[in-house]
Amino acid sequence: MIRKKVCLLGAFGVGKTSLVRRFVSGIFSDKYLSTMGVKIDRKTVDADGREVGLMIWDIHGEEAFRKIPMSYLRGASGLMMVVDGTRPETLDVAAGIVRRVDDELGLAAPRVWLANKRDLADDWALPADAWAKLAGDAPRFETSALSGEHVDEAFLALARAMLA
Amino acid sequence: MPGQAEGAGGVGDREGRDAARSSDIETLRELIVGPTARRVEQIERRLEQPARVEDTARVLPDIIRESLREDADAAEEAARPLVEGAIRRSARKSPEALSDALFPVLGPAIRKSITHAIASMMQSLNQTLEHSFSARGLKWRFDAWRTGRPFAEVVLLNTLVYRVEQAFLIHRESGLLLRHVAMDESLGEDADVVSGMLTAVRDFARDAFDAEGSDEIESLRMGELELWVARGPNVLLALACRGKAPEALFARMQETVERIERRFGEELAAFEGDTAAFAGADDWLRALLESQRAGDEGGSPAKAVAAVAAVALALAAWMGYGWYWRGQWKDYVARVSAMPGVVVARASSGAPFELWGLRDPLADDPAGLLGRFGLDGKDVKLHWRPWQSLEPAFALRRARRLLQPPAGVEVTMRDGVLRLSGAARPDWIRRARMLAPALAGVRAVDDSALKAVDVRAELLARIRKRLTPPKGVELALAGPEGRYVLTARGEARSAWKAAAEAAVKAFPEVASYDDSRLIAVDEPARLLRLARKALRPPAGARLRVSRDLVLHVSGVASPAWKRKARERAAAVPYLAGYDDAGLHPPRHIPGDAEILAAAREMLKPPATVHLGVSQGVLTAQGFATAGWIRDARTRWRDIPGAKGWRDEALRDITPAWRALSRRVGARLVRYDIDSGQPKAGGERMLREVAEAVKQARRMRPDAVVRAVGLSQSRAERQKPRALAHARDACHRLEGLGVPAAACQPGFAPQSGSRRVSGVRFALLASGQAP
Repeated sequence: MIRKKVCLLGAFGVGKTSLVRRFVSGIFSDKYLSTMGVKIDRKTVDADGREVGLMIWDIHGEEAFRKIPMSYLRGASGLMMVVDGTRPETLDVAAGIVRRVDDELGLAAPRVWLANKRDLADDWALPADAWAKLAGDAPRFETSALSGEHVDEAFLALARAMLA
Repeated sequence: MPGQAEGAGGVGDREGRDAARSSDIETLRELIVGPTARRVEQIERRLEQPARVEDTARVLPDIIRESLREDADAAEEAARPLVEGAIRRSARKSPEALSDALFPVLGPAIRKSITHAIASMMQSLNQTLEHSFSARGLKWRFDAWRTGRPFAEVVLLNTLVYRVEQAFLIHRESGLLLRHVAMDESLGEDADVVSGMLTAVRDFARDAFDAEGSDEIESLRMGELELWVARGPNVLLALACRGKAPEALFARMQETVERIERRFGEELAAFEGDTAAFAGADDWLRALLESQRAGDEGGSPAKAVAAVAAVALALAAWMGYGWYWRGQWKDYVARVSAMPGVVVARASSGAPFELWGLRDPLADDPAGLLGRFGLDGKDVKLHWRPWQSLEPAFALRRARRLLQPPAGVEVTMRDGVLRLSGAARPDWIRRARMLAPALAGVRAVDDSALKAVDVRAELLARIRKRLTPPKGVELALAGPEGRYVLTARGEARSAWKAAAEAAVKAFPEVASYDDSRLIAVDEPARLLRLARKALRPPAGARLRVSRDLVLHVSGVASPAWKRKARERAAAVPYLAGYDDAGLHPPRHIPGDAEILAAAREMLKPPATVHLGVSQGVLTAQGFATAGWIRDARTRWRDIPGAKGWRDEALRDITPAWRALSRRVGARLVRYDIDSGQPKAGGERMLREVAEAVKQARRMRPDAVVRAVGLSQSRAERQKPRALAHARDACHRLEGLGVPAAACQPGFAPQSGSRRVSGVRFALLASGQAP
């Protein structure tokens, strides 16, 4: 079996942990997130007939006074960038994280982009242009951790991208 | 061909021919072998020239790579002597360069190795100690002797209770699990998540504690379970151990890591998530899974250790205890030796604590200091012989004790001279002069500053101080010493007199006390005497002064005397009160004249009333107010001797007065502000007022009219004008027959909306408020 390290990145409160909880059933309690800043779960996906074991590093959301420790990103084969579709400012935070990843780690791992909280249709405020520009050629998904909409697809897309 | 050419021509020709032929041959040769020869030549040149080094350099990596791929062991074996030789040579030639290069690697490695070696040693030492005293320990000693192994190793093998349950081989960079082996296969389910988390924890710890370079977590302990981590450049090897694993295990882990790094270097470098490539490491990992059991649990060696430790501890405590008390005793002896008036001759160095020496009875008792050093009088024996210290301090102390200087005498000592100063009784001075020179340590006595006191004056001063006589009391002391007579004379309160009499008894020197000439100013008898003199009571009056110094006057006396007596008594000193409740006027039947006088005095009839008396019956006629008439009808009974009251001829003036008063009060004389004269009609009004006033004055001669000038407001500046109007009104009334004295000008501010400038009037009886 192929194993891949995947990191979930994004601003604080965009719903990364909820996405992971939707996708896997983990063994570690969420308290590691607040203490150590990371929680790790595993999920095996079937990508076109190949089994891929995803080690999902759910990294504490970036805040003004709590930067993501770049050491957690070392060896990652894929990045899942998450923004909050109801809070356009989280796009800037995500852009900042990507910049740091490129500058400090030079990590050329495949990425997928998730705009989460699609279920809050009334509050949806995702600026389409900025969103498209931010993601570039990477696959983008509008997901809902609440309904599970597009969550599996996003992880599968990342698995495929990593195998390519 | 050369033969052909020679046979064809002469010498000249031959030469020409030869030349031509050779040129042909050259050409031919050139045609046939030229390129080859040039190539050979080129190769020769290249072989001779250093340029070939470049060529070799170009192919050398390929050669090495190829040979390693084909047969790595052979290639390594071939390169080994070269590498070894080069390193050896380098080490010989410039050891600094080599050590500099290796230092970053060797430094931490050596440090770590030493740490582990020490830890191992401590562990085995602990165990050796634990097991040296048990029966099992003896058996292991025998085993060690039998098998020729060191005892420590035998102990180690027999006692460690631990189990390596799982081994994780982890890709260091990504934290991905490469291989996992476990004693219990069911443990492997979450191994990959655990390995990821372990990597995260290491990263977290490194970031959190800002660890330098190669410092990383080497072990984590969770109660029974301990996680050991060894690392190589690409992999981490983690062992989950239950119990206490020997340090030597760490060395084996490190070896395994190195072996894996060597064997799978290529796969690790190209790792893309495929863990199957590392299956070959499973056997090595499994070799690390081991368990070690201790022999059956016998008597706890801890007991033996505890016993030995207890004995050692008790010994140490006992020694420490003795050492401590010897120290305390030594400090005590040193302290006593320093005490003045004490000489320590000998002292024991340890228990039993005894001390021999000399002690001046005046010196402080050294036994009193025992407590301060934690020593008990029961454990210590002090043997003292008395002596007299000639130290000045002691001589002085002795002198003071013997001479008992009274207050006021100071005893000092300097250079062996005892100095007495101050004032003392002559008998004390006599005694001191006799005794002082005989004192040990006293060379001479200086009493030039000692004065004899006047015993009588001193005694009198003391008595004065004690008695505190008030002003006016004189104390005197007379008679020979021992038979003094104290005399008090003058004036004092009896309380002081009694207190003084009692206080004098506290002075045994006073043989008798005479206060016969001390007057107790507040004695009742004396006060009575004084009161009699001052009051001069008539025959019927009696005086008495009670114990509480109140003057009681009783009996019969005229009211006039009674009044005077009251005033006079106030002038008698020390009287606390005056009581004349028991004094009555004399029983007397007054005559008509007396009755009339008393009636006039008591009833105060107005001038319009005429009083008369006949046979004790009073008659009143004339004009009076209703109030006066009412009063008189009851009050005449208080007049001594009056027998009746008749007032038929007395006219009540009140209704008439009221009518007049109303009439006067209804008049308002308006004034012109500019001219200050009454306005039209004013004269008539004034005439009416004058008429009413004159009529009223016939009834009551004291009747007056008050002219009230009305001011426009309360303002002060309005006052003079209003007053001027009132005065003018009075003046005009005078012209109309009202005496000037019967008109009182005044003014009043107006209130309300209708304000006028003018004068109002009010009829009053004199003394009556307006």
